[in-house]
Amino acid sequence: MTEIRMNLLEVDLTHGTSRVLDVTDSVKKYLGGRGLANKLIWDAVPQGADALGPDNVLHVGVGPLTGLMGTKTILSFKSPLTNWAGRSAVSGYFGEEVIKAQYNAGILIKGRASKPVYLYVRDDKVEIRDASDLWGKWKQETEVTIREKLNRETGEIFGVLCIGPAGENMVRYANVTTEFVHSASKWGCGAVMGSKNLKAIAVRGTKGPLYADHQKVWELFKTYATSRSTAFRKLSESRWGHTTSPTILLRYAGEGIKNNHLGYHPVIEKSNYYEHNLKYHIWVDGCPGCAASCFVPFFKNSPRGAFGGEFRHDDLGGFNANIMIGHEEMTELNGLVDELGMDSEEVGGIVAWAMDLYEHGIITREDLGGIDLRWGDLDATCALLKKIAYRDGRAAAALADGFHRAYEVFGEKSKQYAFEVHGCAAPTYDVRNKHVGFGLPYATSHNGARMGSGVESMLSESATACQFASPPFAEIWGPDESYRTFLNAVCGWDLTVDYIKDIALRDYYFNRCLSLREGYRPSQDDTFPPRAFDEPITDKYGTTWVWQHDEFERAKRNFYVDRLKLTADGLPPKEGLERLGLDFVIPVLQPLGVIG
Amino acid sequence: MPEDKASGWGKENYPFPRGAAFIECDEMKCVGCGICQMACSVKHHGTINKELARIQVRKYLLPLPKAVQVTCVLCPDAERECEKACPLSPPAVHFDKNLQHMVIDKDTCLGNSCLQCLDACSAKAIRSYPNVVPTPFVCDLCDIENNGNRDPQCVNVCPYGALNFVTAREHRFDYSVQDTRRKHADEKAELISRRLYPLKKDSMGFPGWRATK
Repeated sequence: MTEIRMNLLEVDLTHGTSRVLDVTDSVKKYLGGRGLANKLIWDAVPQGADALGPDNVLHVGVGPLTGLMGTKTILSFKSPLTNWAGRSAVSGYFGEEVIKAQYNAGILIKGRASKPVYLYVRDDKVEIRDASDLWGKWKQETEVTIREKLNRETGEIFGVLCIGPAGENMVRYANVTTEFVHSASKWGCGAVMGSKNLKAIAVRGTKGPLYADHQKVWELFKTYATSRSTAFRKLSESRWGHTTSPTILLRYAGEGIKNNHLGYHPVIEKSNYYEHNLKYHIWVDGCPGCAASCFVPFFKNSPRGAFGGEFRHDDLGGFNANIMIGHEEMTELNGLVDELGMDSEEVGGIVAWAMDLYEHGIITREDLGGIDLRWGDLDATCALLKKIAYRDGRAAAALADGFHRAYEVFGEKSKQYAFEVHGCAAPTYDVRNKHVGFGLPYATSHNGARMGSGVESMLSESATACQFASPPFAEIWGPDESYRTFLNAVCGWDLTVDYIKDIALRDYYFNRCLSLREGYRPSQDDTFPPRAFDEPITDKYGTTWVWQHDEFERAKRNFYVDRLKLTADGLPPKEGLERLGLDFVIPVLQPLGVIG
Repeated sequence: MPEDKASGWGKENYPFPRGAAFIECDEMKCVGCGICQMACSVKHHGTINKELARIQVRKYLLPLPKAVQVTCVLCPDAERECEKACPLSPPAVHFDKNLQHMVIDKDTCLGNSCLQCLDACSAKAIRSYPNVVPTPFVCDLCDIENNGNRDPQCVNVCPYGALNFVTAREHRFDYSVQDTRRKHADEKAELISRRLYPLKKDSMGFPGWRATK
C-alpha cells in the first residue's frame, strides 16, 4: 500500500506568504494534531518567547483520523494564561474542510499581521484578506458575515474559526469558535489569534480526503457506523448531549458551588438537565463522521428575550451554582459568554472569585465601574463579563489576565478566596472529590488545570480522535487496536500496537518537556489551592471530601509513576526520552535540572 | 425487474420495492454526520469524497447549527424540469420507466460545459464535479449498473433514520406533487430557521445585553 503524504500549510502573517511542507516523517513519529504541534512549537517558538508576541505560533491541527473518529481540530500554541504548552480542541465540521483541502497535517500560523486580517483557504488558494470591517464584531456576527460573504463569492459553505472581542483584546482565556457553539476554549488560543491580528480562518476543501486505501477505510468505517455499540452510544449522546453531568456532579459535590466553598446548597436544585431538555430541546446536531452526535442545542423564547446555545459541562461548570444561579439563568448567560468569546470554565471561576472578593470588600463597587456584584445577580454578571472582554476598568482588566496576574493587583489577601490550580480556575470536577477523581490529573498537568493532559489524551489528540466518539471504536476493535487499524488503513502504514503506545508516551513526554522548557516546575507548581486542604465540602447525601497534605504527596507520587510514567518527582526519565527518540530535548532541559 | 430478496433493501423483511419510489429526507432528524455522502461516493466512485456524493448535506447557522440534506425527489413527468431543460432530443437526463430512477446518458450528455439540467432543478439535486466526472450526476438509487437493482446505500447507513426509501404505496399522499418538496438546501434552512424566531441569524441572544455594550 502506498503511504500518503502529509501536507502542512504554513502561513506567515508578517510577510503575507504561505507554503506547503511535507511533514510525513514527523507525522509518522508523532502523529498529527497535538503530537506534531509539539515538534513545530519546539522548533519555531524561541525559549521564553512572549505568548502574545509575534514569535508564538498557532497550529490549527488536524490529523489522520479527523472526520473518521469524530471530527476534532486541535489548536496548539504557547499559552498566554500559563506560559506553558497550550492546546485547545474544537469540534464541528471545520476540521473536515481542512482535511478535504488535503492539508492533512493542519495549518501552522506564524508571525503577526500589521492590521486585522482573516485567512482564506480554498484548496490550493490561500489568501490573507483584510478584516478591518470585522474587527470589533461579536462572534456570531463575525462568523455569519464571513460565511455569507464567501457564500456569495463561491456558492459554497466555508468552515470558519473566529474570535470575539475578548480575543481581540487579548483576554488571556479568550476562545476560538466555529459554528458559534463549538469552541476551542482552553488556555487562551483566542488571545493568541488576537495578538496576531487574525480575526478568523475560513477554510473550504473540495479535493476530498487523502486516504491510502479508500475501500478499506470505508469498510472499517461502515462497521463502526452500523454497529450495535454505536447505536447504544447514540441513544444517550443524542438524547441528552452533555447536559447531564453538571446536574449529577452538583449533587455529589463534584462541581463548584459558591466559588467552591460549599458541597451542597439548595440553589443546585435549580439545575436540572431533565427539565431543561423538556423545555428547550430543539434538535440534534453533530460533527462529520460521528454516528453518535452529542450536540443538543437549546432555544428559549421568553419575555426577557430569545436565547440560543448549548449546555455542556464546561459551559455550565464555572458559572451555574458557582455564582449561585440555576439552568434557567444559564440559558440567558450562555450566549453572552460565547458571543464575547471567553472560556466559560475559566471566566466562570474568575467571576465567582470576583463575587467572593466583592463580598469581603477586597474589590469595591468603584473598582468594578459601579457594578453591584452580588451572588446570583445575572445582570451584574453580564455587565462584568462585558467589562472583562473589553478590559474596561481596573478590576475587569486585572480579571482578564487570570488569577496569577490579578493577585498582583488585588493583593495577597485575595489569594485565600481563589480556587485555582496552576493559575487556571478549577471550578468544575472539584479537586477535593476523590470519587470524581480529577484532582490528581489537574494537579499533575503540565498544561494547567484542565482535562486532556494524560498519556491517553495525548494519543487521541494526536490521531485527532474525539474522546466522546471513540468508545464504540474501542468496543469493536479494542482501545489501541482501533487506532492501529484505522491509522494503517488511512496512512498506508504498517504500525504495531506497541509502536502506537510508544507514540502516545513520546507525545506525552514531549508536551511535558515543552512546558518544562517554558518554566513549568512540578516541584513548585503541582499542588492544590490551600482551600483543598483546609475547607472540607459535604455533598447532598452527606459524604465529606478534603485532602490531607501527606496523603496528597503520596498520591501524587504514585500518580506520576503509575499513570504518567514519570519519575517520582514528576520529571520525564532520561532513558525514556532517549528510547523514544527525544534525545534532542536533553541538552536544553538538562541545564535547567528538569530531567529525571 | 429482478428481485433479489437476500441483498435488496430492507433485506428479507421487506420485498424489494417496486414501482415509483424515492429517498425522502427527514430534515429534523439529520445531524449532519455525512455518512450518507461517504456511502454514496464509495458506491459510485470507490473513493470517500463528499463532493462526489449524489446526496448533499449542508451545514447552516440559523443561528444554531443545523444540517439539511438534499437529494433527488424523482419528480413525476410533468414536474421534471431537468429533463425539459436538456437541449438534446431525446434528453440525456431522463427518468427511466423500466428502472424507475433517473439516468444521465454519459454518451450523449454534453458534459460539464452545459449543466442546463442543474440550473433548472430548484433543489440543485443534480451535481457536478468536473475534476473527476466528465458529466453531471444525479441520484440513481444506487442502481449503478442500470439493471433495476435499487439499493440506496445512504438509507442503509444513516444512523439516525433521517433518510427513508419511500415507495408510492408507503407514501400516503399521491406521488404527484414532488415539486412541493423539491427545495434547495438554503430554502429548507430558511424555513427551519422560523422555529427560532425571534432570534436573528447574527445573534445568539436578543436581550438587553447587546444594547448596553
